[in-house]
Amino acid sequence: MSAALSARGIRAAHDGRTAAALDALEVAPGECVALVGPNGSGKSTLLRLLALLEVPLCGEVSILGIAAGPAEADRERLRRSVTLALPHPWLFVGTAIGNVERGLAARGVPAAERRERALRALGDLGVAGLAHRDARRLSTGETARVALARALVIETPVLLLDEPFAHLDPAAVPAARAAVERRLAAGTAVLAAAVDPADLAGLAARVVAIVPPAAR
Amino acid sequence: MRRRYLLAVLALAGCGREPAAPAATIRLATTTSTRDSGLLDAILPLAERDTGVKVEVLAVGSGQALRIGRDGDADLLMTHDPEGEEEFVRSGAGVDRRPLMFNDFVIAGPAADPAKAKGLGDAKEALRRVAGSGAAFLSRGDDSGTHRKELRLWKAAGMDTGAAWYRETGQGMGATLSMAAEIGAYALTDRSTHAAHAAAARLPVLVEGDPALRNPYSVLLVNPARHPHVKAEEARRVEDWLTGPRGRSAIEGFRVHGRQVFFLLVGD
Amino acid sequence: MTGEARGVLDLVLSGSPEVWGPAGLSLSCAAAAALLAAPLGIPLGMLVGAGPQRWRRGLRALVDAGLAVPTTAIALVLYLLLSRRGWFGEAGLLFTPAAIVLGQTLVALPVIVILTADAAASLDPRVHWTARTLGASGPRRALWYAGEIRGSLVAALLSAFGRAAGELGVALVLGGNIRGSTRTLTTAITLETARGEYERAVALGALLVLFALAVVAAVRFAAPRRAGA
Repeated sequence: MSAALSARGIRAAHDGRTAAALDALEVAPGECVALVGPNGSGKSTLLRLLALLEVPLCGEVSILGIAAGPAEADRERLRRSVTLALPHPWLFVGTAIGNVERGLAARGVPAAERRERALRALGDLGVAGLAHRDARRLSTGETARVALARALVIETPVLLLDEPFAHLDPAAVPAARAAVERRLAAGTAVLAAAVDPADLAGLAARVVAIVPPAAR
Repeated sequence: MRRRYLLAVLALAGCGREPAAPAATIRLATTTSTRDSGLLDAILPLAERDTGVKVEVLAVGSGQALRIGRDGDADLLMTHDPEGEEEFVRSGAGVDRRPLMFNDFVIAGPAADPAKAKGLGDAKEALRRVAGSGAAFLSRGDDSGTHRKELRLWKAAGMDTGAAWYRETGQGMGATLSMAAEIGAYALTDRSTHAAHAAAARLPVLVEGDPALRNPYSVLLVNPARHPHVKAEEARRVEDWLTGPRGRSAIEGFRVHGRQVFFLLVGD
Repeated sequence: MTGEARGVLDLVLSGSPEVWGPAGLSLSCAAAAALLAAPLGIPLGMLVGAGPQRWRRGLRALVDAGLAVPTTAIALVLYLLLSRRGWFGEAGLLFTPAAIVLGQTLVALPVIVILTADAAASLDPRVHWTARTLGASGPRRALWYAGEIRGSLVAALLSAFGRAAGELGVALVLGGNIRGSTRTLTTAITLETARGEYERAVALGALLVLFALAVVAAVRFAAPRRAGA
């Protein structure tokens, strides 16, 4: 089966220093790969590059077999097949459910269907009750769960999760993991980053270790 | 949504105006002296009542008033610059020029009167004394009827106005008088503006009565043949009123602090 | 209280049309100008602050230049265009409130653009990343960003309103200071000062300052976290 997400020879730079490096990576549909490395090893930078949010210094990223070129219009189209959940998520002004619906609204999903899918996504993560709360007033754990629901509900073929369970209450983790597993079963390729590989145990089939650039 | 926005904006723009303007409104371009003396405030409401035409007063210098007439941005003119007015009509920009009234200019100055000009009946001599005394003289310097009159007087007096004691404010009569009162300078002013001005007490009239100081006003219509959009019919109605018995009696009856400042001209 | 101060207070409190007429016109023209400038200024500001790189620097230079143009220069250019012999003379707008609104819109525009651009440029990068990863296209992203800086946008409109209400050149040259029609607070102050009617001038000036302070208070309320507000 060809890879849903593949990367080769990636180098990213910040202020003239190498910020992140990834030689080769492939994630197949339905597979979960863990990206593990200490703080400062460049995991978040790599995920953003793989999500096509930034352009690497060199290297190639391919989504569903299509290589991402420099042209912004092409990248925008390709971006629609991959969703990234940030480690410290940003929720927009409005309600929790309004946030979850945003990605669907951007894809032209009609209102009724948006609402139904969003509610279900919030329910899967155990925060259906927060649907109409002001997104700015949620606790860290609640914010993380709403943001995760927002990423999962779009159901893109590729899903990138940066520290998905780090800010969750321990009691909330099983539901979150189950939600991710459901996406995997549906054929989504998942790449999840964590400092501690134990966070993703049982979920990730493979572990790719990221070494801080300075140590290379 | 967008339409509501636009309507709200237009409504806002309109809501500062006074309500329910009468059927016809014309624009009168005139000089600051007729406004600042209070004459127009006194007689225009009477004209409006009798003719049904509301008159918007655009008060600028005579020079600009004639130019505004030439450009077609006003319907009726009331100015005090005979040479400019004659040229205006000759060039076809205006029609139906009718003499209306005159007021007179006076030379006002500091009460201390360093130039010893007080009581002189000869304006030219007074100006010579001002020039010789070293006291300051403030000119409007704005190409208005008053300014042009003033320049003609200096020329007749044989004086050069390039020296340091001669300063140009570039502003209207009121502003110039305020400044003259502040710095203790002499100025040529029309009696009506001076009489109505709050600074009159500190800047008394020193020289008056010289026939050379007479200041005739005329009304003219902007030529509708050249500017078809001009409200010629309504403007003519107002012009007729002003030069007719009612207008003339209103002008003659106008007082500033008990003094008559505008005098009727018997028609040419 | 001195006689003059009492005179000023009487003028203001008695609802004198010589004072409140210009006040109403100043407020309505400035408000109309801010609202007309907004649909153009806000998107332009978003472009300058958070748009594609290649547009930003050139546009920003243009807008900075716009802010530097003196209002009297704007007034002069519009006067020549709106006069009957000018290109847009047919509309007969010169010496009407509409001409003042037009001029003040041009005065308000750079203010709105720059304040919007500054707010958009200081958006948390996470906002950009999240909007892009959720699949929002350019225009939709601009809309989302505008939502995130709502308070700053309101503050921008208020600041533009304040600038328009307080300026003199445009109102005087394009309006003509016609009593009952185009006399604003600023042009009326000029006139009353020139006439030596200082009580009236102070009454008008007091209202102008009051409105300016109200705008400042409103801006602080709308965007309390803005740096230097």
